[in-house]
Amino acid sequence: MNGSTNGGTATYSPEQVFPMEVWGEIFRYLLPRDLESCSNATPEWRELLAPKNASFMIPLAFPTLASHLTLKDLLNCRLVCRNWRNGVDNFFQTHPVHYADVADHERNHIHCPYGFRQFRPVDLLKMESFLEENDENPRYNPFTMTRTVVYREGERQAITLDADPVENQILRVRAAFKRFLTMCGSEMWHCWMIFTDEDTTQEDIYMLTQSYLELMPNLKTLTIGVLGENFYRINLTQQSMSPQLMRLVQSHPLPVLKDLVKLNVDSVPTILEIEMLTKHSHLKKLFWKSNTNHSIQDQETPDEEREMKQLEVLRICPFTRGNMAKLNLPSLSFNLRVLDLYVQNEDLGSVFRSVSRFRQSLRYFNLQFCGDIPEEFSENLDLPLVETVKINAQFSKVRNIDFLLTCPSLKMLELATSSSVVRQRDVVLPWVSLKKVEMKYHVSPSLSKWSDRTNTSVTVNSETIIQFDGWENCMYSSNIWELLPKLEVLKVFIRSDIVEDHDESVSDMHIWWVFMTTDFQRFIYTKKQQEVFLEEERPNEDSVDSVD
Amino acid sequence: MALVRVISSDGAAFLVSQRLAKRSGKLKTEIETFRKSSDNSEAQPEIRIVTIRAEILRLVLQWLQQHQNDPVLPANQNEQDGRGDAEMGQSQWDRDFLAPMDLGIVMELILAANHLEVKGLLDITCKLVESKITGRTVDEIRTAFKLKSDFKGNEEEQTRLENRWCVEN
Repeated sequence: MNGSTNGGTATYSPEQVFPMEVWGEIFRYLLPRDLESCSNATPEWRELLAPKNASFMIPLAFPTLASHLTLKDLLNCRLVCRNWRNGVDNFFQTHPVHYADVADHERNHIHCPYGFRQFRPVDLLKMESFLEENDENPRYNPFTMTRTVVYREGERQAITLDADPVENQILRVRAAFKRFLTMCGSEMWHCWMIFTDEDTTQEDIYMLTQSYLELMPNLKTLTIGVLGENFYRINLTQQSMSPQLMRLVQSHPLPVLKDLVKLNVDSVPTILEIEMLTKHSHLKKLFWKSNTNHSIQDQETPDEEREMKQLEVLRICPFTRGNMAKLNLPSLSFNLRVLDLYVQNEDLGSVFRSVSRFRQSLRYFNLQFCGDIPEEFSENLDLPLVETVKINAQFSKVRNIDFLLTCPSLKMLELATSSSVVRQRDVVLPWVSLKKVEMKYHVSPSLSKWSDRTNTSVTVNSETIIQFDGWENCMYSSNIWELLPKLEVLKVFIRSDIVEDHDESVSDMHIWWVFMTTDFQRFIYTKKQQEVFLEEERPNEDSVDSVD
Repeated sequence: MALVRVISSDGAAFLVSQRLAKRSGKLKTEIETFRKSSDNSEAQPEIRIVTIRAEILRLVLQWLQQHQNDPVLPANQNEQDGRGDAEMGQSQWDRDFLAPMDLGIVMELILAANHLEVKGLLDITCKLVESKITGRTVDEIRTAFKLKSDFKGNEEEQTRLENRWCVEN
């Protein structure tokens, strides 16, 4: 900065390079940070910059000062001079966390630590006049550093601002949101749109989504949800694909969001579901909650265009044959790593066969199952690479988990099922690689050693059962720590030996208990110490002999 | 007495006792780093502060000297509202110390105190600048900081309209 030539050793004073007036002109174009560096470079420059001190120092001091100033003060500071305005804007843009305070100056209005902009109908109506298309109002919004917008159409009871009928107000709300998106929709990366089925047809929802999405071309994540009145699942009765609806789709096609990575559709009309999936075959994450349990007309013809080759994470609720056909499942089998299914009253065997298509990539499998598993269930879950399996069959009877025997890489197992049945037969834990086991709800299985179990095909020899069904304080004496050498955490629902005075039925008291390898090692260590201690206490006959 | 040489951005060196220097979080770390890297434990540490000029550094050291016997304020004390500490630590001496200063210098002090991690000084300087901004009109702020509006045309009006993004809803 003090005028050294590029790569050379000669140095010049600034005045040898330009007269001071020229430097003064140059400084006018520099940012506060650079001006500060300049002022530190030579005494001449500092003198030249001294009157500007207060103007360029404050932007640097804003981050430190901000906690002392209120929103009103900060906005006033924007009006002082250009440098201060840039300082405040820069502060908001580089410290978006504080933006939550700005948007949320009523403090308890919304609790959002991430600083997103939420629009409920009442918010939009308040902003209505401001969003008017009007030359006076600024198109540029210095405060849209947030990339996330939340639009909720429900909560209509909150609209009490004016005497306009609710239907009109909703129209005004939609228009206001559209104007907001015209101003800064292209800056948005993440969007939640929550509709309601109250006075809203599936055509309405499609058209609104279409018009909003056109104004947000750069979205990376999108959530579209439809909630029923009072947040119950909706029941859109007219789900048929009428010719009228098809014409609507043709005349107003959904825009293709090129950057979209994650899509979450929750109970949206079928037409929107299909269109969203067709248009976005490049998705990496798809969360799909459908409100239709029964299969849908077009299931027979899986669309060739709907090949989601890049999909890595998939959550489907509920998992039905119709939904599978819509997704064209075979095309997914290359990259899918995470699968999360909610299955209700489906044949578990066919579900397993479908899931086994992902045997070459799947690492995480979560199954929520509701329904019955037949007594002689012999299907296998063929996932050689899967490391985490979570099964929640809280309301079903899982007699055994032998179907997991074809998952040799299992590291974490979480199991929740109803109690009584499991106790009759044994749950087997043959996976030597297991690091974490969690038994939820009333699972209190006896665990048997795998190798012995193969020999005794049906009944379990009581000798081989891991000493598990004892009391909580015996757990570290169990042989499970030897049979599963990598086990770090074992979380079970187990009988406790904690006796509480008021509790008479102590023997039935079960509590959550977490067992850890580290504690096991400590246990072993203490045990050894005790043994050493006992040995020392005993007169050592050998040593006595040797002395003699 | 162990000493340390603290050198400002424009090359002025200050010889300070290590006990005093260690009241600044930044200098303390620097001295410890120097001790670890140096073989000779008797060597005098030399610390170059490239962002602070001599005039400001002198003021910071002056303040440290005056307050060398104060209890060290924990850096995160009362962080949630950031207020209150200043009243606790502010003495008549502090008021006299800050009174003749230009606000530009005070702001340089804020940055220096922040950089050198001197909590007490940071509190009183922030408090002073805050008092010149909080509740004042734009013109009052300009007068206090000796600033002129450099907005052109309707730029100021435009900025005023932009502010409505924050207050309208």
